[in-house]
Amino acid sequence: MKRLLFFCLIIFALATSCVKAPLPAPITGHPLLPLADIDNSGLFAANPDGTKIAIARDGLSLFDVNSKTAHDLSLKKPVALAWSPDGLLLAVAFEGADYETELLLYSADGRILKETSLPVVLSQLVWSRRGDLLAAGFALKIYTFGGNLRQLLYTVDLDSVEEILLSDSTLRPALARQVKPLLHNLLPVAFSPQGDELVFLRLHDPPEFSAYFQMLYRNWQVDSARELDKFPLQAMALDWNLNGDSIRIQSETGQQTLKLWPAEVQAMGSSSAEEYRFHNGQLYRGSQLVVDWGDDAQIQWFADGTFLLAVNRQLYRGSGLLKNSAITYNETDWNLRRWRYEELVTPEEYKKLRQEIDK
Amino acid sequence: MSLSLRLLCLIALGLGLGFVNMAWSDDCVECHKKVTPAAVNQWQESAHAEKLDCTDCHGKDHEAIVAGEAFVDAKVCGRCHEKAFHEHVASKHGMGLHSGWGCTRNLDTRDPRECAFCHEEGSTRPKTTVQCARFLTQTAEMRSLGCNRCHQVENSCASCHTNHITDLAAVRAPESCATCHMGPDHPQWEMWQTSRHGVLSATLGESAGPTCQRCHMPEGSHDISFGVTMSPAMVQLSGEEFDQRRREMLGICVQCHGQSFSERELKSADAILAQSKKLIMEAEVIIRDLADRDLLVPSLQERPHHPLRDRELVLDGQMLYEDISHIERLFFKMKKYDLAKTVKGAFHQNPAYTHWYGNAELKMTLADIKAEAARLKNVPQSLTEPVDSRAGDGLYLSLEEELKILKRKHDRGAISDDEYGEAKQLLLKQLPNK
Repeated sequence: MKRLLFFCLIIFALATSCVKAPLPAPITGHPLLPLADIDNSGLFAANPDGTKIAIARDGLSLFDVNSKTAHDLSLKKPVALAWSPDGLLLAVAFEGADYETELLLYSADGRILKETSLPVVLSQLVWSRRGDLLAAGFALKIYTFGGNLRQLLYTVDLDSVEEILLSDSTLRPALARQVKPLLHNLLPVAFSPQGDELVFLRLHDPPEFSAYFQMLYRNWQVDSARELDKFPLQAMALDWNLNGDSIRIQSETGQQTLKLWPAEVQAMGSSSAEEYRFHNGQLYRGSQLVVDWGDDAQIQWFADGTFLLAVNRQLYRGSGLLKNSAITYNETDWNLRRWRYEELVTPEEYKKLRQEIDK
Repeated sequence: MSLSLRLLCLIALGLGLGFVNMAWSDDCVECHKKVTPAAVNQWQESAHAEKLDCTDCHGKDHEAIVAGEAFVDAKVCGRCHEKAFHEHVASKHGMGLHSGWGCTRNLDTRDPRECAFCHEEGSTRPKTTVQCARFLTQTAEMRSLGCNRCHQVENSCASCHTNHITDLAAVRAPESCATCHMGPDHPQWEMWQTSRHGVLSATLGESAGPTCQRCHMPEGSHDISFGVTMSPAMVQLSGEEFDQRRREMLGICVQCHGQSFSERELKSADAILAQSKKLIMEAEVIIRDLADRDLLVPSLQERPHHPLRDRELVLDGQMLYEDISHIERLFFKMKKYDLAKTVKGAFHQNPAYTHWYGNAELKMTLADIKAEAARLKNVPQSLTEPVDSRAGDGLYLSLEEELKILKRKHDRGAISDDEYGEAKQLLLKQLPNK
């Protein structure tokens, strides 16, 4: 019996040591420190100075990093979290009934300031650098004669909700029924780091041809979108580069980078070879894979090089990962980017003016 | 079968056909005396009664006739009246329908019979690509009565001659032209009637005062473009075409007037045309500038699509008089009514039309347009469109507006690439953070 107990203890110790084994850190000498538990969605969002973290954990909790205490904000499981750039507001999206989304705005101390319902399945929830809360989603209505697929963008603040139509497609009945359960993965929406522009896929189903994806690019303050490319139906991932001037497309055929403007502007002090990039749980430096934390891992960077990592139902804090990710709001650049989109200034003029701003 | 037997059969067949034909005509008259007695009477009293029966023009397919599919168009008349037909087709009347017609195939109210106006039977190719936006915006009833009743002249001799009357007195009287050539857009009838030509004609007869037909259709010609040196849109002809048309008209004038007097009067009218068009140009520049600044109310984006040009500002012959701004409506009046009265008044020797109905209205409307433009420029923007307070108020908003105005001017060719670039740089220098 003693031998059996001893054997069990050894097995337990081995198993425990496996769970507690330190995750591979991206930089030697900068270990990842466990911070809090998180549910298997890995969904979290820290405010800009990293002192408060909204965490999906048996609903939604607000974790205070300094006191190491948490209090519950909701018993419902969120589908998206985003802190405003000034850290005063936390936007939380919950899945609503009938393919709707419940959107709540909390104060930094967890008080509900606004509650609204959006008639879409949410695709993306972000704050622009200027401070616009942007919620993009889609709505599919199926009729006997076909489906109507609309992609919508909402700008939300404490006083109002504005709806912007991104796309409107008519689908044949069979396609509408076939894609309905898959749309969440088929219609990615990617916002520029500034939050002023977005790239998204529109499902186009013309009567005489096979259905395909239209990749569209739009500054959401301007009425019209531009077609970037066409793709056959497939799951794709879209990822903006740091400067907000080109986009990486991950498709079945591989990865490609699409320049949105001929005169691409590189941000001062950054180069793509040094830039850290996180995609599908993998951390890259330039094109070099640094570490693979698994598909479910989520990361959030801070300007001082610290970062938060959610993996294996645990939230970690790390440091030393300097990344030129600190896109700050510049009113002139914000307007110039819109004017470039509207062709009021040429890409060359924008490049020249942007360089003057960066000086 | 022997030759004589064959001959006998052919004679019998010929007689049989002749009998059928006679029977047809007799049937028509017999019945139509009850159904349309006036038409039968007019035909019986006409020159056609001696040579033609109903079927010669209308055909024998009674069902098609009843359905309105056996239209007696100009080509039917042209079989006998060949010279008149060719002159007519080559003249401005020959494009009467073209200038007032747009393809109706996509309209809900389209009548399939309308196809025959623009297409040869069995052909999808239109005789012309000319379309009329004003026609396309009308109801079916208005298109039929308000547009086609005059513009069908291209294809219908009956427009002037009526259906069954052949008495030329009806078409040689100037009143015959008045049905269409009157009203605010081209009051040739009124301006001729009250000119010395018209007054003399009414009081002393045609030998003293010429009629429309005497000057524009000399010796029974159906070329109503005879001697006219302007297009329907009042664009002066040029080169050999102008010289030829001017010689034609001088040939008419000198039948009563001296050569130098005639030349001087026509040249004066040419000068008035050029002067008046300058005023139109001045107004057009003002309105285009307002459109560049997006100050028209409703704006080009807010109003229904133009049937031929979508969101474009249309101030030419395809301009609409509905779904436009007030200042455009003033321009429409200036161009379509006042210009026509001034210029046509001058060519028709009517001083009151040239000056008071025409020139004075042109200039007063231009004054109205200037005042309206000033008002629109001073309307606070918040009254015309809500300002997005976050879209960059103050400097950014005004710079964006100025950039948009510059771009519109550049896109429509009002400023060169260099001027555009320089003006833009001046604006962009005002940006902060540089």
